Amino acid sequence: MALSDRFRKFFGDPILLALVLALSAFGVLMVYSAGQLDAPDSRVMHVWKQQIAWLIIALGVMFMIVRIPIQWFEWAAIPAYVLGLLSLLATLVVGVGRGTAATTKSWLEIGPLAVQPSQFMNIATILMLARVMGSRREPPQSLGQLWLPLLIASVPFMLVMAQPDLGTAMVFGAALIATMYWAGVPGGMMFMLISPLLALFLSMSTWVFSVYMLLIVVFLMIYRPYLWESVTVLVVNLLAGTIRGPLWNSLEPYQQARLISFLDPSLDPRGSGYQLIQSQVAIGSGGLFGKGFLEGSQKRLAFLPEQHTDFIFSVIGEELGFLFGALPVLIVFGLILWRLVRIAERVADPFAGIVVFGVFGAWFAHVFVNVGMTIGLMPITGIPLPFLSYGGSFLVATYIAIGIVQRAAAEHRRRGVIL
Amino acid sequence: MPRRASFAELMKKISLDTPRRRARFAVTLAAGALALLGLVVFRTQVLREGAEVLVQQGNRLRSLPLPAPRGSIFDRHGVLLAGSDSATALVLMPAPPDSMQARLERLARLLDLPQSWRERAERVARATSRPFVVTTELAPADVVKLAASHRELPGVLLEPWPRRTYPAGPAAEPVVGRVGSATWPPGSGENPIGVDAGRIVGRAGLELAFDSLLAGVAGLRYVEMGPAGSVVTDPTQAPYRTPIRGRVLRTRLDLGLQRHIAELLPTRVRAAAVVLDIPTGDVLALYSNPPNVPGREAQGGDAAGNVPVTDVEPPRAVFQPITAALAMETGHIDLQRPQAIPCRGGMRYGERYFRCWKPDGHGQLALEGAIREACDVYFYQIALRLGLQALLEAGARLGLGAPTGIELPEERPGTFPSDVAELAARLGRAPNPSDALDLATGQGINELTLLRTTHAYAAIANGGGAPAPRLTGAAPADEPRRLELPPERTRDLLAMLDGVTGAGGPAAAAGRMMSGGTRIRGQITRARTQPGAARPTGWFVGVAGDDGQPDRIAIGVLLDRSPSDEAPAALAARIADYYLRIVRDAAAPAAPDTTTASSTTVPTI
Repeated sequence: MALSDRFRKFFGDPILLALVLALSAFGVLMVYSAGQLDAPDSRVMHVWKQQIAWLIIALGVMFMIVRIPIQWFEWAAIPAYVLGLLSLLATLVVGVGRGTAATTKSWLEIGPLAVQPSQFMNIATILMLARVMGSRREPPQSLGQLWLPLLIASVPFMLVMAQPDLGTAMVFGAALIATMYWAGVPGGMMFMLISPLLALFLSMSTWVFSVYMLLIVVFLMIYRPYLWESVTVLVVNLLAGTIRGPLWNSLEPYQQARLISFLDPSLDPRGSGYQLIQSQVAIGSGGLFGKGFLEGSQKRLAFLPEQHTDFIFSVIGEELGFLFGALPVLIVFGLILWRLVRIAERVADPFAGIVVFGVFGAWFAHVFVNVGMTIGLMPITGIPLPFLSYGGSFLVATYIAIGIVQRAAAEHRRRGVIL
Repeated sequence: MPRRASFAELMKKISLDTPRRRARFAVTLAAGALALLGLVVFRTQVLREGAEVLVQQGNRLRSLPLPAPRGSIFDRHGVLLAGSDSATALVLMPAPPDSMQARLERLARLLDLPQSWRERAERVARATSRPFVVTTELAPADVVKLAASHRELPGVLLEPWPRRTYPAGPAAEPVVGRVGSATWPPGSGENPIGVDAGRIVGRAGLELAFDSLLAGVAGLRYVEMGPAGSVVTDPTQAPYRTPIRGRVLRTRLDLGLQRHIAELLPTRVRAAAVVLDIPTGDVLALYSNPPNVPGREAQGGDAAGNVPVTDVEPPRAVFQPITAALAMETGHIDLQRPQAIPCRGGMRYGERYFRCWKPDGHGQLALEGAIREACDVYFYQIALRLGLQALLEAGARLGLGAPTGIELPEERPGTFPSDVAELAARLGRAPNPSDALDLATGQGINELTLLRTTHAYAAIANGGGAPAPRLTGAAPADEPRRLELPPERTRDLLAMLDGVTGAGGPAAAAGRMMSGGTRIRGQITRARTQPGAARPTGWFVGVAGDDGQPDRIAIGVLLDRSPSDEAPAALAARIADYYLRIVRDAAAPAAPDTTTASSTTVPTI
C-alpha cells in the first residue's frame, strides 16, 4: 500500500490537511505581527505564543478525533448538544466577557482556562442537525417537517444572542441552512423559511416592502405549497415587516451603531464607524504588494482595532498587500471550501455528508462575514477568521471540525472511494 | 397546460436533487462570494490605494503649529520694551473624552495644578480635535517630573515654546499692550492656549495694532502618534517648518520718562499722563494708572481701560484756551477787551442760568484774567459771539471729535460734534445757541480724551496744527488738520497761559518746580467742592519748553481725587522738568543697556 494511501485511510484528505496547517502556521505569524506595536501593549504582544500553544492542543485534539469512528459522533450528537446547551445556559449565569467582547457573557472560566462554549456548541448543533436530517429516507417536503431542525438551531441561536454575541449566533443560522440544503430540502421551501428575514430588512421602505409582498404572493402561486404553508408564510412575512421597529429597539446600542455605521461609517468616524474606516484604510494602504511583514503602520500605531482577532485580515492586507496577502488567503479559503464540498459529495453516509457540509456552511459564513466586514461589505459583528484569528476556543473547535471531516473522508477511503 | 409542463421541466432541470448538483451549486456559490470579496479587496487595495494611503498618513500624523517668537519692541533709545524667551509648553494630543479625562487626572496627580486649570483644559479638549497647549508656565521641577514620567503619560508632549516677556514692566504696558490666547479670553497666564487658532495674538496696545508684523510666521511640526494619543515622534526632530521670528518694532516712547511718570503718579487712584513732542508728534510718554495689565478685566476692570485714550470726559476749564484759539481763528475775540457782562457767579441766557465755577464771580475780566481765573462767564460770552455753527466748524478743523489716529486700537473719539446735525443726534433734540455755552467751557456733551486735549494744546503751540501723535514710524491714516491762527496773537494766547503757572497764578507751584531756563504753562480744572465731598477729576494740560524758545512738549495729566486744583499741574511740572533736563543733558552718553538690540541686525518697522 502506497504511503499516500495509508495516509488517506488514517487522516482523510491530505490536501485539506495541508491547507489548514499552512493557513494555521501563517495565522500564527500574522498574530505575532499583530502584537508588534510601536507603543508595546502587553495584552497583545505575546498572544502569538498562546496561539502556538492552542494550535498544538488543537492538533492533538484533531488527531484524537480522527481516530474516532464517524458513527460515534452520530451517537454522541445528543449528549454533546445537551451539554452544549447547558454550557450556554451557564454562560448566561456565570459567563464573563474578554478582550474584544468584554461586555458579553461568552466565556466560562475554568481555573486558568477560559472557554467559549458557543464555538463548541456550533459543532454540536451541526452534529445534531445532521443526525436529525440524515436519518430521513426522503428529504422534507413541507415546512411542518422542518420544525425539529429549526428548533435545534434556534435554541442555541437565542442563547448566544442573549450573551449577546450576534456574530457567533449568525453561524448557527448558516449551519442550519447548509445542513438543510445538503439534506435535500427544496429551494422553494428554504426560501419560504428565510423569507421573513428578507421582509425584516426590506420593510425599512414601505414601497419596497409592498413590492416584496407582491412577489411573495406570486411565488406562492407558482410554487403551490400547502394552503396552510402559504398562509403561514404570508402572515409571518407581514409580521416580520411590522415588528422591525420593536426589534430594532431591542438591539443593544452598540449593535444598532454597528449596523448604522455599516451603511455609512462616516456618520461617526470616531465612534461606531471608527473600526470600519481604520480597517479599510489599513487594507487600502497596503496596496498591491503591501508594506512588508511587521511594517504595517496602521497596525504598528494601533489604529487597527482588535488587530489580532477580528481584524487579522486587515493586518494581512496592510502588510502583505493584495498579491501576497489578501488574494492568496481568499484562494486558500476557496480551496478549503472546495475540498469540504468534495468530501461531502463523496461520502456515502448521509450523516457524515451533512456534517461536512454543515462545517462548510459555518466556515463559509465565518470567512464571508469576517472578510466582508473588514472591507465594508458586511456589518461588523465580531466574528473570527478560521485558522487566522487569535482565539483558543475557536481554534480548537475548528480543528475538532477538521478532525470529524477528515474522519469522514478517511472512512470513505476505507470503503474504496478515492477522494 | 403546455406552459405548466414547461415550467415543471425547467424546475426539474435546475433542481438540486442529487449530491453532485448540490455540490456544484455550492461550489459556484462559494466561488462567486469569494470572487466578490476579492473584487472589493482589489478595489480597496489597488484602485483606491492612493486615497487610503493619504488617509493613513493623516491618521498617524498630527500637525502641531509652532508659534514664532514675537518681534521685539524697543523704545526710542533702543531699550527693550517687549521680547521673547523660550519656555516649555505642555501640549496634549487629541484623544477620545475618556482617554483625555484619564490623561488629565494623571497630570493633575503629578503636577498638583489648580482645579481651574483642569476645567479649562477639558473645555479646550472638547472643542478641538488638534493638539493644544495647556500651559507654558511650567516650573522647571514640573518639566523634570513630566520628562521622567513620559512613558506613563501617552499623548503628553513637552515642546519648546516662545513666551512673551516684558522687561520694561508695567510702566510700558499702556503703550506696548499685551498678548493673549487666540481662543481664550485674556486672563491669567495659566489659561490654556488653543493652538487651533494658531498663535498668541496681541490683545491691546501696540501688540494688537502691529500683531501681523510682530507675530512672525508660525512653524509646523508633525507629531506621529497612536490612536490612544501615544506620541511616537522623536521630540528632538527638527520641525517640518521652522517658525520665523516677528519683525522688530521701534517706538518713539521714552522709557525713562515713562518710568518716571509711573513713579510719580499715585497708584491707588486713576491717573494718567501724556507727553507729546510738539514739532514731530512723537508720543514720548503715555501712561495709565492702573496700567492695562492682563487679568484686569477678570478682576472687574475695564478691558480697554487705557485712560489717556479710552476715558472720555468733560475737560472743563482746560478746554477754555482751546475755545479762545477757535474764536481767535475766526476773529471773534479781542484779547485785550474785557467781557461785556461781568462775572457775578453766572449769567442768564434764555430760560437757563449758566453758572461760573466760582459762586462769588470774577468781576469784569479780559482774556488774560479769564484764563488765569478760568472764568466760565467770560467764555460763555465768547461762545455767544462765535456762534454754535462757527464753534463746531472750528472744532472740526482741529479734529476735536475725531480720534487722534495714534497706533493704539483702543483709542476712542471724543464727543465734540463736527456739525449741527451730529450735535442734534447726540442731544436728541434740535440744538439751540445756548448749547454753544456748554461746548465752549468743556462741559455737557463736550467730552474728550486726555490725549486729544493735549494734542489740541500742541496744535495751538505749533501755530494751529501739529502732527498726529505717533508711537512708531508708521504714517498716520488721516491728513493732519490745523487752524489758521495768527502767529502774533497765538504767542499772546500762550503767554496768557503763563498766568496760570506763573507767580501768583492758581498753579504757581508748578512754575516754581521747573528748573532754571525752562517753563511750563497751561490750564487746570477748577472744582467747586463742598466740604467733605469728593473732588472731581483734576486735569492739567499745557505746554513746556526752554525759556525764549518755542514750546517743545505738550503735556497732559489727569488725576482722580486730586487733593487740589493745582496738584495735576505740579505733577506735570515734575514730568516736564525731568524730560527737559534729559534733553539738555542729552550730550552725555547713556550707560550701555544689555537689553538694547542692535539695529543693524534686525529688520525694523
